Amino acid sequence: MLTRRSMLRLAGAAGGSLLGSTRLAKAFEEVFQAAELPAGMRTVATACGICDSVCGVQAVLQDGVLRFLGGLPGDTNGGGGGLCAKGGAGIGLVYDPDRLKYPMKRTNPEKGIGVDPGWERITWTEALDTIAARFSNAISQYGAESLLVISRPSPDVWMRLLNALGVANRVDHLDECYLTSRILQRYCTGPMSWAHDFGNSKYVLLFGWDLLAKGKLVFARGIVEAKANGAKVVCFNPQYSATARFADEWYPIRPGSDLAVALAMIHVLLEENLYNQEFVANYTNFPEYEAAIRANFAPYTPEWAELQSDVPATAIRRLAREFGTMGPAIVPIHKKTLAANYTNASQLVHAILILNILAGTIDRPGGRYEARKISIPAVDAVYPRPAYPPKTGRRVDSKDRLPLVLEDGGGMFSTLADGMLTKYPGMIQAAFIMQYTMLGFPDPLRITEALKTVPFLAVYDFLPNDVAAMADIVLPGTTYLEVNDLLAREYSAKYPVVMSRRAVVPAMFEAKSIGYLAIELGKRLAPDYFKTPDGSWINPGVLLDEKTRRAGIANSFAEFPPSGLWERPEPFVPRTTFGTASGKCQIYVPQFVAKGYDPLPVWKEKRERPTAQYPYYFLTYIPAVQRRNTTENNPILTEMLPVNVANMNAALARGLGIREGDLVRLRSRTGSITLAAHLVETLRPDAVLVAHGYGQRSKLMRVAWGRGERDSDLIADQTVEEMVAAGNFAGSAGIMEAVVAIERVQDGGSEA
Amino acid sequence: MRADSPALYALAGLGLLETNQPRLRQMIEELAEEAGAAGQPTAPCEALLAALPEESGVLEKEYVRLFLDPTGAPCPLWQSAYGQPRQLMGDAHFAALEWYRRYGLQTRHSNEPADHAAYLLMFYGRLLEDGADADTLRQFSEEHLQWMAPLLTKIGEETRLEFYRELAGLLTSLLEGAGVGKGGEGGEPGAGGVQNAGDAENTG
Amino acid sequence: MSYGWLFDPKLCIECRGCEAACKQWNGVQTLINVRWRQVYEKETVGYPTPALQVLSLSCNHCEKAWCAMACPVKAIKRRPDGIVYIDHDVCVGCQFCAKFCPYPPRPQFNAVKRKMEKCHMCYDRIDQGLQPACAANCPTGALKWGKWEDISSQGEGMVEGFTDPKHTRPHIRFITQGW
Repeated sequence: MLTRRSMLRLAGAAGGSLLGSTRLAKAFEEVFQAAELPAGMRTVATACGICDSVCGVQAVLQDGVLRFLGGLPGDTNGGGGGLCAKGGAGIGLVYDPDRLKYPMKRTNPEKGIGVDPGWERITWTEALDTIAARFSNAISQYGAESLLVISRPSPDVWMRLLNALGVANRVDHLDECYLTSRILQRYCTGPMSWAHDFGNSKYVLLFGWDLLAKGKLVFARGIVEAKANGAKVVCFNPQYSATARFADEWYPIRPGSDLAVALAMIHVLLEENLYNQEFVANYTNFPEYEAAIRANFAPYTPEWAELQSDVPATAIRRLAREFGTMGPAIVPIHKKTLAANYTNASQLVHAILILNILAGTIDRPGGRYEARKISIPAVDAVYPRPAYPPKTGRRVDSKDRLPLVLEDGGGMFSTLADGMLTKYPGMIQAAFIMQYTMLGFPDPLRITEALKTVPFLAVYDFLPNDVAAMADIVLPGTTYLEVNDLLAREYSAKYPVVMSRRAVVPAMFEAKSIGYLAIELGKRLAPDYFKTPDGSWINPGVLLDEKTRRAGIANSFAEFPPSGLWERPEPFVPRTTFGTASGKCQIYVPQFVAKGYDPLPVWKEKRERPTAQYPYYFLTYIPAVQRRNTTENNPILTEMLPVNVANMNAALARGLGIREGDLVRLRSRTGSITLAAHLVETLRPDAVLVAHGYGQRSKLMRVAWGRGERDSDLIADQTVEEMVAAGNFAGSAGIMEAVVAIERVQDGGSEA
Repeated sequence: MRADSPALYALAGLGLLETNQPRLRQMIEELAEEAGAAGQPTAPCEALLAALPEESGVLEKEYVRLFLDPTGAPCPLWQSAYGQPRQLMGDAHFAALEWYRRYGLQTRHSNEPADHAAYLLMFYGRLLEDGADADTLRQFSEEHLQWMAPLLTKIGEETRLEFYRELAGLLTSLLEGAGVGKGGEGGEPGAGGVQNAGDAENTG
Repeated sequence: MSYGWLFDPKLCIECRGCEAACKQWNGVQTLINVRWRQVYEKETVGYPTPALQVLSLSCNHCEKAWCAMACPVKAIKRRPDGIVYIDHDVCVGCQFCAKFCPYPPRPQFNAVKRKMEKCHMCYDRIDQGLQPACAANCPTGALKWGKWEDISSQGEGMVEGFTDPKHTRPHIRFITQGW
């Protein structure tokens, strides 16, 4: 009979029954078809894996080859359809000609920076058998404490292996990252939260927070939204960066003195009762400890803080008043900046959390909030296992000397060399390093010496970097474009959002995923922990399907929405109880008292201050085009910043007789590096600023090798005793503690 | 004439594309039947049917003579032929592609001009049926239907077949319904010179 | 109909996503100092109240393209939609175009191919109804691309650090209005 006219949407419905008659519709279809990309091109939705923002990616393939990475349409709470340079250049990681391709074993017994390992190709079977045998021998002869695994605590199947073996010495770089922040949050406001409701903020206070200059898109878009909504942004940072451009006021704060300003602002808020009374009365332990709290902050006047920080007292007082009255106000916290730059980080993060609590914006509009997530079951929920053996043994990074760090489980790079060389020499008999370069350690020369003492080292990575070059066995790893995974959004999630990461291209050469590695080693070393209830081995693909199904997302991973985004929009219900011991936001932390720590933040100076010998602050930054492990060898990104330089204030340089391009030697108590000087107006005149991510010594990384210097050569590691003495109880590596001398080496350049 | 008959726009457009007589007849018949069942006027379709030649090949010959003759067809059907400079695959072609693309469509034959009058009319019908708003409809009609007014007049003058005269008349009415003025500017397909790439004064 | 750029410096975070997208889509040769689009950062005020000016620029597809006029072999051509491109079959790499172009980054000499290269507005993407790669990947909307008739009425033709547009009528506008 007759067909009715349909009201199909135009987009996406090519040749749906249109225009009534079927003949007309057919004629229409002979002329028009659904729009598509050029012939041979197709798109796959996936998720970027360069940083933890997990922006959506639309990968474009031409005849099966990756051609372009674009932002993901519809990714409104992520990259917004855009991608930063690191993400957009991600193809360079997958197709890097220098990439590790096959498992290899070392034939040159000499190990050291810049030494050619003399690699010989082996099979995965031989590699796995060798690693398993060495690990097994080490454990049976010396105990589980003799195994050092330097890796992040993921994925879940990798942790199952380590826990099954009773590995106590899993160490990661968290003291250089967010360890302090996670610990303090646990006691003050609940589980670590990453999400910031900038869009509803009216007052944004940045203590060194520099995420726009690092290209963290979700936060950048949040700040843009805040500014568009009329928010005021205030920035404390010795450097005027791309982030500072978005600030209404910028203060070149003295390095390491953010704590003083934060304490003074709390002082003003309390003195003038400018905190959110309703929130503080009902959801914090302020009423219980009010007297002690007020007394603690009484000495920290803006006048006192000006002497510590170079921020004028009048400004501190005015900004505190604005913070208390122009809300909703927020002080963002992310990773290294507050938690790892200085040894007074424990106090600083505590003070920053108190500012957010006093603003009344914890899990409230305009403030820091807990990402709303669905429960994606981990392997333990899918495949039960026997109980793990207890973790015994000495902790090579001394985390057992810092109870809160031990409780947290995060690792410390800054104490590792001391542990391996001084405290427990010879304890580590076998080591496994997963995706870290030498650049990432303070004092890389020292950690190199430490690693040389380990009889057997296996490395899993994408690129033949300076750590891989120290390995006895090196394993080629898959990149984020070659694996499937489910990722729950953390950085921006007022309702649950899960991204799919897809194997857009098959794994190159013989690269394998960490899941494969974990299960294969598990079969050899801890078989009882890697079997499914029906007796077969755990399979990563089946496991992922199970997770997808049990999370209620789809019946299998393959059926995850092709858009790459799964969302469950639901109203945001602010928390009324928080994940702390008392269920309230804790300004005063009684649990710290029992451990001998201050329950409230007190002033502590940064560990190292300029001296006659080392008169200048040594500051480092992560440029927008670099990210650990993944970008150094990328030609597109390298072009944008080919080498790092010694950025110094032009007036400082003139005073030292240094002209643009002159080679200068920067020397700290730890080491020295030589770089070209670059004169700027965007830096305090008592500091020198160097970009992190350069100084790769492995010749096998042909783009990265020979470019620039390692900032970390100037950065001292520390002993746990030093940390305890400094009151650094939550494990900050003190990455920006160093002070340096600057010396002109030779003419290199011209008038600025 | 109902101005909002999407199918009629599409059909009329197809009249400028389809040369297979039986097929064209069937399409018009089907549409007439549907219009009748929906209580709409069937007169336009019936008039076309009445004008359609019986003998085979007649339509096709006239189509070629009017629209395709390489020695100088009087009525080229591509919008670019009426622009400056007078050549195919001009601005209008790209503009049409963009319109289609915005609605999730592209032409099947990417090596042919996308600004064919038939395609533009069929697409307009699609916009109508999909409930595009008045501003969108007006914009498309100004950009891609207006130019047809003088063409239709010319077809009426040049053709020797009642069918094409009837079709031109139908289209003129439909275009009026879409807000396009009768006859009007635009004039003859222009004769342009070679454009100097360094100077874009004459392009939009 | 033609196209143009709309750049709003206050939204730019200097992530260089635009630069990377251009290089990746167009397969521009790396490490020979050829970048068709570049983000420029310039200090405009001194310490202690520094200011930075930021611009993301590529070819502006000028209405009066001096590069095309200067080219002695007529290798620089214009599409009907105004996009100015270099025909590499004709280019001899004499670099005259770069000397006459008033706007960084200017056409650039690819020392390996011995030809000049510059942005061609990703016309292969435009022909498929897509935006140029750079604008498509901008996460904050600082860099936009669209129809010149829509853009030309917005913002200003000139911004500090940009060459006076009156001579060549480049298809770019800048949003100079603050927050």
